[in-house]
Amino acid sequence: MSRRDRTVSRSTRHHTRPPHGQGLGARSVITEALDGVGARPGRLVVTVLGTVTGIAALVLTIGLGQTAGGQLASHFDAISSTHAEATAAVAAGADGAEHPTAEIPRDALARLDGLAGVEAAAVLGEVDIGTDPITAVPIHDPSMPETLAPPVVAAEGDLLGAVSGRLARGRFFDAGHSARGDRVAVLGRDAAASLGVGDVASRPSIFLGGHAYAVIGILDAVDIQPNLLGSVIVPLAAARRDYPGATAARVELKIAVGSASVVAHQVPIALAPNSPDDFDVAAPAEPTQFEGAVRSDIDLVFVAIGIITLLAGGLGIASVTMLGVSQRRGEIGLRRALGATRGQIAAQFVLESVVVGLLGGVIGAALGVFVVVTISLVQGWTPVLDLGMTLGGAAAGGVVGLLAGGYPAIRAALIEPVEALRAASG
Amino acid sequence: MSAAVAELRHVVREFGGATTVRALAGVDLALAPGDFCAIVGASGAGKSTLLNVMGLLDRLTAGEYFVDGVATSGLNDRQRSAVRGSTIGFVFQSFHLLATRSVLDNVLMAFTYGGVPRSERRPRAVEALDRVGLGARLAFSPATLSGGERQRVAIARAVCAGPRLLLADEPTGNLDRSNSESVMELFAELNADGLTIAIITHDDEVAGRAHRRLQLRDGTLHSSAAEAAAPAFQPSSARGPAPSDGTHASLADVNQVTGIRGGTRR
Ligand SMILES: Nc1ncnc2c1ncn2[C@@H]1O[C@H](COP(=O)(O)OP(=O)(O)OP(=O)(O)O)[C@@H](O)[C@H]1O
Ligand SMILES: [Mg+2]
Repeated sequence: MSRRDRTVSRSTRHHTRPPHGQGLGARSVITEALDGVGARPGRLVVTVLGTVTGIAALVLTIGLGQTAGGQLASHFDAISSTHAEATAAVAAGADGAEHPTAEIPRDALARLDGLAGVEAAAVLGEVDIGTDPITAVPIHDPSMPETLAPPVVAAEGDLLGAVSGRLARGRFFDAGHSARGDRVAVLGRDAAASLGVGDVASRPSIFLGGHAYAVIGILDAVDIQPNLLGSVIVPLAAARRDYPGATAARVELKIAVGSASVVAHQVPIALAPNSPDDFDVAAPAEPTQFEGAVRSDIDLVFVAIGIITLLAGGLGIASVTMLGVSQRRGEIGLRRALGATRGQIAAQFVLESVVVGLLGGVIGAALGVFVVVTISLVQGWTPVLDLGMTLGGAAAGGVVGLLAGGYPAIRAALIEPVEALRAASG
Repeated sequence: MSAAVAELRHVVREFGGATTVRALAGVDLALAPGDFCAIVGASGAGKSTLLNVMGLLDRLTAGEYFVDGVATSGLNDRQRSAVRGSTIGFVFQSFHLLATRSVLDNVLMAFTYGGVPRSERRPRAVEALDRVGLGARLAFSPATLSGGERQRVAIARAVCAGPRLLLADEPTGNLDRSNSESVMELFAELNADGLTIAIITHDDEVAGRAHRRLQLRDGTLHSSAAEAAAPAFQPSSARGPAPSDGTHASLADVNQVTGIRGGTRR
């Protein structure tokens, strides 16, 4: 080293500092934190994993719930805009229970025929068959185990059209069957299975309280009234003959798109011109409440898994940060010697774990979104993803980091500079 | 009026525990601007404790310590940190370089907590590394350097922010003879430029480069017999005006950074 170099040192020493030294290096501290995070990439992967998993599980659960909910809603919207149901209004009777205020008139279908917006109509009602068995064989064998008889529904009109049903086999009964009072039956898919009826080409009979009904069709699917799939459906005329109490309780309507309000206004007038208030027209009851209840249970499990994983992720960040604090005592001491305050040391470690948490949150949210989109693609759904929810997931990772880093950061700040320097060798 | 860069008055430092250890038992020491002082003493004599006190890394049990005429006992953590950052440079026996950062980044750390404008930092760090002969190793990892080179990086880091006082605790303790000599040469040059230096050493040759030699014994300082035999540099009176300029500039700095107003100025 030559003497000429000394001028360099001198000029170094006489640099003037800016008048305000406070707020010293918020930017520097952030840079230091980022460097600190990047310095140990291997450890970083392990640390981030818990947060990634937790956030991904949460985003997946919420995103999938929203997507499925959106799917359900749009499906239901489509159904409810093309179907309607007319029932007699109910009023509290003398016994305090609610009773229909009117009966569906026998000529209901004729009255509704040709009404604007009505594309198909059927009247139907459940038939109380008492304790009568329903069997596929003529003789009732008392030694056979008692099985719950499927419900019997009596119907008239274009029920298949009204509920947008599809037949697996055979045909539906028509006006001719009704007019003649033929004992025929269409079985819902599930009812057919429970009765052991598989084919209708040979016109198998089922026995309803001793009367043979010829099975002419099997109902495979419906858009509304899913309970029909578990029912035995017979013409109203035949049901009235065998069970005098059988009556129509409601009218199912398939309506043109956009005609709902017209239908709601016109149908009660058509059914009871003198007292249209006796009838209510409404969208069919939502068929998926039960499913919804199951879904929310599943959601709860997923959210619980997400939160537990996130907690584990937070503990992971906390313990790795704690480990970092004890391994980096020398660095802490050096920084203190270079002028770092306790607050700046704490800020550095908190920032480091926030960065780790945010990183986990961003990766986790992206992963969750990716899985939601993939599942939606496979299912043919439209993915519904709330941007706020996704960003919130990423931010939640940062919050986890903040909470996890707090304690180690305080520990780091409380180390006396002398201790920190003595403990380590560089 | 000669303002000492660092002055200890009756400084006592005791360590509590089962039995109280009195590491410093009333130390008086004044370092004038441009002093180059070696502190020697047996192991456990309290040398490191003395240097930690002077570096504001440790607190006193009793007595008073002044930096540039400012009493330090009333300073809070933030103010003490600011004085460390602006006025004191440290060199440690074990270098304390971050292995994950380049040589240049290690030196740049000196500016992390100070008020040096961003645009000045890199040029000054490069300048300091040039000064210690490592201008060609900026992007190297410290792990690839020899012990002597590492210590010179640490010295560049200690001086690049322009401290008034350089404290070195056995800076040559991990170095061989020739590396020790180059490090001591560097100290001598820095001192010749007016930097005040206090160095702890077990090595007589190293101590010989200083022009004041103090021995710590029984917790108190004594002039060492070898002091007279160390005529390394001119007496301080002949050393030009630079140090006193530095005094004023630096005192102003301390006040700005710490927010102290009207502190004891001597
Ligand atoms: N934090 C502490 N707690 C208790 N005792 C301490 C502490 N720090 C130092 N001491 C004691 O103070 C005395 C002086 O220690 P110091 O480290 O200053 O010695 P030293 O002169 O630097 O020794 P060496 O040459 O071995 O480095 C020793 O007896 C030591 O045990
Ligand atoms: Mg020591």
